[in-house]
Amino acid sequence: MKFLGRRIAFYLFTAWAAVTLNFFIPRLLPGDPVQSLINKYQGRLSTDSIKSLYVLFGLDKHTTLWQDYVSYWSNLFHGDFGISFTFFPTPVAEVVAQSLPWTLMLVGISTVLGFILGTLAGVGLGWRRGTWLDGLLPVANFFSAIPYFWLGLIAIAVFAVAIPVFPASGGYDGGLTPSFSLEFIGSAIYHAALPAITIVLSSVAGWILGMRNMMVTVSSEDYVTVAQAKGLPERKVMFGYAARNAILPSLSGFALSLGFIVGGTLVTEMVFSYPGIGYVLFQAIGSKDYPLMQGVFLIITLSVLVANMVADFAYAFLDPRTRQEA
Amino acid sequence: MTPHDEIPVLQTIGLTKHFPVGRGRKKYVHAVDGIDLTLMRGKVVALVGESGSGKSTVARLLAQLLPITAGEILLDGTPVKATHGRKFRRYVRNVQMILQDPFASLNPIHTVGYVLGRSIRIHHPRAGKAEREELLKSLLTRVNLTPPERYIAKFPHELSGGQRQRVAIARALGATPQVLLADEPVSMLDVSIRIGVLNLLQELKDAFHLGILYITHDIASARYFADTTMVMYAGQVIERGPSEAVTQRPAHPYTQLLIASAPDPDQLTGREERPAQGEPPSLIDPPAGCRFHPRCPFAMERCLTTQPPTFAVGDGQDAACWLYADDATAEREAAFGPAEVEEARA
Amino acid sequence: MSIQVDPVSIDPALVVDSDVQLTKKHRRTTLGIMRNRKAVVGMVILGFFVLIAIIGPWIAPYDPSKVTPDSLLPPSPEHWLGTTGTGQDVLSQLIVGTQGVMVVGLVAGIIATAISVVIGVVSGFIGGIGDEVLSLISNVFLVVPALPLIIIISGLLPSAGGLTIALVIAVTGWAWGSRVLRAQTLSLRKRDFVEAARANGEPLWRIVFFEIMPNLTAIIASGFIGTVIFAVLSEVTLAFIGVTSISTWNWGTVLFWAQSSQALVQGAWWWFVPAGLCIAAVGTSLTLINFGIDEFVNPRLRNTAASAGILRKKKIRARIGFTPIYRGDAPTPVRRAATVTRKDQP
Repeated sequence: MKFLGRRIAFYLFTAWAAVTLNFFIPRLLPGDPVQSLINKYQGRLSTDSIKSLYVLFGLDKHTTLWQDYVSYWSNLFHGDFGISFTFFPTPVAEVVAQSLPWTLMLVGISTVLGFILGTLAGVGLGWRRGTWLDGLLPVANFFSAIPYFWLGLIAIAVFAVAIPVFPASGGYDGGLTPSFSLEFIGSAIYHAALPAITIVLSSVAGWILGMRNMMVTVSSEDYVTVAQAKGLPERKVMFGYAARNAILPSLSGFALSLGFIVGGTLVTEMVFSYPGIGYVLFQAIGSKDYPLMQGVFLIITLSVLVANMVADFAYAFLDPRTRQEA
Repeated sequence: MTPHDEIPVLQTIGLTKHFPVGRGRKKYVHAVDGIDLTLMRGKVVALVGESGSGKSTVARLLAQLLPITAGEILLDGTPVKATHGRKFRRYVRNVQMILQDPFASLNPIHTVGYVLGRSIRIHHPRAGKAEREELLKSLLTRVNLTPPERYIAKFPHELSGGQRQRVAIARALGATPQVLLADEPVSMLDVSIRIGVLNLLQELKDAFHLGILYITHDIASARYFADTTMVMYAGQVIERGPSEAVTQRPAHPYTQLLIASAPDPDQLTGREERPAQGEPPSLIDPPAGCRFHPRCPFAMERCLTTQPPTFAVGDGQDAACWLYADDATAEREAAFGPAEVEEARA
Repeated sequence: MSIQVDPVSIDPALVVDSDVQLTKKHRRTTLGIMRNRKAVVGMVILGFFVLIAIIGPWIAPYDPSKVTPDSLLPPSPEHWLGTTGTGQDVLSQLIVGTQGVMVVGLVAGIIATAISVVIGVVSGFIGGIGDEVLSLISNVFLVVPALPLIIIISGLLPSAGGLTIALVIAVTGWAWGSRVLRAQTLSLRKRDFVEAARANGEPLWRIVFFEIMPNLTAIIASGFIGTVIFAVLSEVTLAFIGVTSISTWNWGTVLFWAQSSQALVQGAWWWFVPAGLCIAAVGTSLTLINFGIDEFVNPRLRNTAASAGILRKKKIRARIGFTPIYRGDAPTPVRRAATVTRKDQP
């Protein structure tokens, strides 16, 4: 229990740090670009919105830093992230809420798929050496050295333009409206296929390698030899004994690499114009939409934190040794 | 014999070390409690005990690698407290340590020449290059690694366990110490090599008039190598005396247990009259009274409540056991019968 | 000749813990990495790009920024990689762009590694509160997703030149290395040779720099390479998004222009394919070097590929825990007469 407590405390602290970082970033901006932007939209902003933007960017010379900070936190708890300039006058919170589910779906599917495929391949590679599986590793490595976005570009060029198998962009067919209908979901999956494949290809090498190395180390441990000597079928030893122990570092690595995968997904979305948070960020950068950029960053960070926490607890659940660590 | 030799080169009074457990909780591991130790030049004192008895901690306390909780360490009659800085370096020139694991005590990336060279550099700061070379070769020759040139460029993994231990001894000698603290120096060596290393230590002791603290769990080697033997249990010294006496006529029931547990080819049938029971006690909550009483076949009423002081048992031998209290004879005979205790000592 | 092939056999020439005497040739550990085929291939490829980075601006056939009317020409003898939508030579852009990529990658790698070494080693060495604080800081940096942070920070800076980007990347990417180093330092600190060095009188700073750090070189090198890979990919990504300044040429900038001019749709594959291949090549070469280091450090991984080939040739199926013995032309064992005499039992 003490272990869990410490981890939760850590995540809370990190969340606080991320929010505080977010608070300070725009204040580090040289010059006053925000003021000019607000001036541009002045006529169409309500006083409340102007106020929240002031708080966001610390433009009100009459308030102290601390007051701004407190107001910032209170705004956050009210779900007020400011107004987006790109999607004016939609509040940032709304923009984020609309695009987040798409990213979640894409990241979720790609990560799970990549993890499963990679880990299975790693188990096979680590267990049996000298088979054709060995050739898989350099290929996967090559793919992981390619930037996500470039792979995406190639994928589009080949599978969407040259041989039109998949759609080149978008999250769903332009003519449909978002709903839970089968047609919509089908279209969504169809559009998500190519981006997901790109992400999986790029990230799978990491899983394979990690798992393979661990399998090699674990397989030479005595308890595996005992299991084999007992006469258990090979598959049972491979999965039940070896893989189960070898997967632990992969799990903790999973949590950490989530950050990377999220980053990669963002870029992939940009390439595919996939309506997720990454694409929103891309547009925000293009139009210097600071409130939106901040909001997106915060959401991404908090999501990764939550995912890390879940993975952490899963790891503690699976490996009794971590629970002992006071 | 100089008057110098009359003062113990290394002495401890009431040496105590308690390790705090956990964070800020008021629990302590009573690793070492009230050890009085006397080491004379040119003599070997053996410190015998099982794992967890605290003997290695004593070694590290004497090497000033750990701060002491209570008690005093006296070097040449003067109390010292020198865990770091110049005082530490000065202390270390006199007291050197040899560790148990020859495979781990040498850094795998450094050659023998580097290791010994560092020792020479640190302890002979004003020596010139030629002199250092000479010292290096003489150190190697001293530990019987000849020809020295052959060993200077070697890495630890290229040497056998015995050779590595000799390098470790040479490193200690580089400081021209007066005391060698040997923490189980031969426990991890092949049995056939042990005698060689022990004989080397004997030679060095005679040549340099060193005092050696020989820590071991093997009481038989204590008899062979040491002049005096001290037996430790659960952080305390429970018996001390000339090695011959302690090993041949052990007084404390624990010592008797140690001796009896050594397999004896002349006695193939086990002597299970008073079998040993139980395990070493928890040092966080040591039992009240004598710490050995849960396992002691001769435990009496007194043993459960009061810690026994040390009683003289023979010439120069003493034991911390209520069985040897002057007024214990009646109690003893009532509990165990007159002859049994004496028999156990035989 | 019977061949015993153990799937997890260790290359005897590079075993670290054995009593075998080695020949002089195999002793130097640095040579070991050279024997690894993967690492050598990686280094060759990397070397090629480093060379281009250095001499690039001199050997580029055209000025990469020069606009000409020959737009979107496929590869030809005048333009080996064709031209862009504004008639610029793609090959020249790539060649000149190499410098930007390599410099940023290298600088970011160096800075990040330096930070991670300082924080990781100090944290692992001093323990206690200092360790807790430093670990907390590095964990925070570890969990916060790097790329979005880099994007945000760079996006907020008015003009992000190469070195600024390198700094931002370094500051976001040091945490992983420091965590690994801390773990290693923690385990090294407890090793006997550190204690022995201290007991011999080595000052603390020498222990950190000369006893502990050299044992960390492999990890530091591997971390450095990993960071460079990360830096290169991040930098190219940033350029592609349009966050970094477009005044200096960079493979990512090439792709940025390719994307904004819809090179894909126009089928101008020569515009965006080579840039990506270059990135992939650099990344792959670094990964290969890392593999080499990995296999060198962990002997069990070393012969995975080598054994695979040998095993296949001998038609042996490797299985964990079994040592296949090839009986092809095994000689019949020679029988010797028993000459052992046995002692009589008492």
